[in-house]
Amino acid sequence: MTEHALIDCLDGYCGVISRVEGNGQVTARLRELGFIPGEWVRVIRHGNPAILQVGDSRFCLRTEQISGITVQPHAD
Amino acid sequence: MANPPSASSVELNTTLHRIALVGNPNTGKTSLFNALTGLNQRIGNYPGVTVEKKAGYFQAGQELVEIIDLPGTYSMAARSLDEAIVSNVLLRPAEPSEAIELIVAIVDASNLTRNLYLLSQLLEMGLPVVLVLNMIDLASIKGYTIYAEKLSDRLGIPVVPICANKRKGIEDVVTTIVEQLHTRVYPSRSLPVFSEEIQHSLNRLRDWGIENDCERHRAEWLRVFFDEGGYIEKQLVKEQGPAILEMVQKERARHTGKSLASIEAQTRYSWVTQILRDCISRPARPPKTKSDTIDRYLTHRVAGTVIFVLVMAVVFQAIYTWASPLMDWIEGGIGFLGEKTGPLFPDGAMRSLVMDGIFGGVGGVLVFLPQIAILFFFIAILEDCGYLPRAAYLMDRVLSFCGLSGKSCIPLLSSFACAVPGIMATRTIENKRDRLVTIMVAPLMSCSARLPVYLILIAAFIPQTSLLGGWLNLQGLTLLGCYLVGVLVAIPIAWLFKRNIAKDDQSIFIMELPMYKVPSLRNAFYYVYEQCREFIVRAGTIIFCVSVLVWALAYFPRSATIMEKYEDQRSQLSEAAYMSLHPLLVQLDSNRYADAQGMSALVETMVLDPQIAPLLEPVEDDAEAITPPEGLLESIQTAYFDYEEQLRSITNREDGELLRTSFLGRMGRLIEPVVLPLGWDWRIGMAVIASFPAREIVVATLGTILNVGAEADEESSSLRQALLEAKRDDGLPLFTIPIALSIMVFFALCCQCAATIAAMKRETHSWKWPVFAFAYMTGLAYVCAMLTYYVATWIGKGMV
Repeated sequence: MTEHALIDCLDGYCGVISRVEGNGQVTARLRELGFIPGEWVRVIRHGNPAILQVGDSRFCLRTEQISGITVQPHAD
Repeated sequence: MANPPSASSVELNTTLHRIALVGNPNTGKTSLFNALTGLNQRIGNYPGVTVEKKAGYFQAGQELVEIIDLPGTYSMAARSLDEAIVSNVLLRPAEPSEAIELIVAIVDASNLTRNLYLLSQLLEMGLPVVLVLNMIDLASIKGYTIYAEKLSDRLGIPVVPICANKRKGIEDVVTTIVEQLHTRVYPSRSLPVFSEEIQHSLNRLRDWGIENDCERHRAEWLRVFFDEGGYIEKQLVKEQGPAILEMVQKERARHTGKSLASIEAQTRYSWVTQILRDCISRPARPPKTKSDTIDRYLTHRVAGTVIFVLVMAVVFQAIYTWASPLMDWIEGGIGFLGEKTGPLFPDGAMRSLVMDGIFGGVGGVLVFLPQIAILFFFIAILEDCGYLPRAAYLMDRVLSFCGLSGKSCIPLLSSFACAVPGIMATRTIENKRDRLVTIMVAPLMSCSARLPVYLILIAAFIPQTSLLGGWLNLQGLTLLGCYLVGVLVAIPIAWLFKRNIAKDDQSIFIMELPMYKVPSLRNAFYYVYEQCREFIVRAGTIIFCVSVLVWALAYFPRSATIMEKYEDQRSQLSEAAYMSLHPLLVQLDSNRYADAQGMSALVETMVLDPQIAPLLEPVEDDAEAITPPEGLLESIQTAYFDYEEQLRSITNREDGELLRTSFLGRMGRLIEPVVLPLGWDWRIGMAVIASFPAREIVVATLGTILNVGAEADEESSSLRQALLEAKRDDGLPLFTIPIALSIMVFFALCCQCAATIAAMKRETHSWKWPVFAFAYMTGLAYVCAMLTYYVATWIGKGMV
């Protein structure tokens, strides 16, 4: 299965989070917001800032905040 | 009752229950709060911090309930001051009487997974919890079915599905709250279970606490343990000393490998999955919704930006032009009341205080209301329908240049109309540091009150030269320059402040883009009402006091010698006018006028004369011309107008001299050495001091100083003429182009506005920031005005 950094994905990309790396406050907050392995993620707008859909929520995030997230396309 | 919301509605045998409303941002928390409390709301402050405390009351049968609307939070792991407040209110009341009896947890039914994360933490607080499933309609649009009873059963707490926006289910919420207040079921059935090692660590911390006189609730130990460097940890260290940190670090060190934060998130989310199993039926992956379609356009770089510009144009147009007739009415109404009330007082200081000081001060406060109301109406609507964060997304790139985020966009743009609503609008910025920087630079945007100052000076001194074949003209360009000065200065200032002030705030910029929904007019109304009331109560008093103070400085000491001197002139004038008018009038109608002795008796008779009275009305330029009187009538009219004009000129000169010799005038002379480098003489310096309550006052003050009369405004040609002709004490012209430019630059950058200062004080809850803003802006304005003066003088010399 091919993994990508979430920041490299383009508009419309739809996949599943495989890893969330980092120990800072931001990463901790992202985890609380639902950025956890296994969760659906969709790129609404790539770039900086980006708009991401994770589960049922949509967030506007800066590149440096999401650089630790890796995704993989869903099997189907 | 110590503290009843409204004495009439409260019976004496009721008890006051204190409950808290907690939930994620964008869950409709405010809608529910408004629906429960109506206008029985109080806005206060948590002691010692700048977080707003919103509390309201409602009565349910015998119970009087105080409900505290806590700031929206995603997690109890406090990463901002707002979030720290939530855990403080729930876990450690300052006094036993402030303890919370029950938590109302509101969640977005269309986004249950994420919302239940916070619930998992709330259940650990050891308080009864009522779960409110809001936006149940949005959930069904998404194709989600939630089995509330099953969920309630599994969680062991009551669950109430509602639709706060449409006011459906509010009654059920009230009934359930009252029931819970009586039965007090503590949630224990289903709590997230941490691994045994973590349980042991928590137990050891608890035991250590008991031994070391630091007994805390388990929920608090959880936060201390999991949140490295978090607010709760810092708070505890501050209270208990570093020993506790040592202990906590020792416990944390036992769990190497995975990060603690990730363990907590995994544990809680798997609890959520477990809880939701068969309690909700939903498509395997989140479905595409209408919001996706709308976002395709509204967040599009080109289409979205065009729409943003259009939306802002409407908002701007509204604050700029729709507000002005309302502002005129308010000013007119207050002026009318002042004129009606003034004569009830004896002529002199009392009357002037009532008319100019008090009514002037009240007018100075109320005149801002239309702009505040209109801006906040739009903000409420745009926020409620979900557009605001999209606009912030679009503008983020631009504003990140000076270290701010897209959220500062609307407050800064609004400040072009007026900094007061602009500063109040920074409340939508969660990040304290961004908010503070935005408040600090907002007054640099050229507001509408600066416009009269620019206009009069440009009209008087800048030639109407056409440039580029008539496409541009020098006056217009100068005006544009005045607006640009503020923006160009704001960029480096914001950048500098962002790096140097309020560095202790670590809150994170993560912006949620909620689903679009139809905005609620009712919530908009509450919001506007609340903001306006707050402004009048908190900022209004300061503006009012400053206005009265400046009135007093300009009014006193009112030398009797000067007044006598002008009284003499007036009686001389009357005598002369009588001598010339009386014979003419007798010639016209000897019966009527023969007995009239003295000018005042003569005027009284003239006013009653049907033949003369219409001629005495001042001729307005655009008024229907009355048939030009000939011969005798014409001479009478000319003589009378001549008399009136001279009388006005005496009064204007008297006002001018009284102002120059007032305390304010003395202050002007005192600061003359300071303003000399800007090319100003003491009169301009004095006008600047007088304009402290509001910049636009400078026009009227200049009018008075230059003996044109205080009614002078930016369109009056007599003021323009007076500006051109005014001479300094040494005979040089008072104003030149470099001086005019230096005044314009000064006003573009200075903070001469009591309302702005008051709004800053109100928003930052301290005098530190408004004083700082005033100091830095005045310093900046001074230096830039001086540079402008010297550069303009130098260029002027070069051209000659």
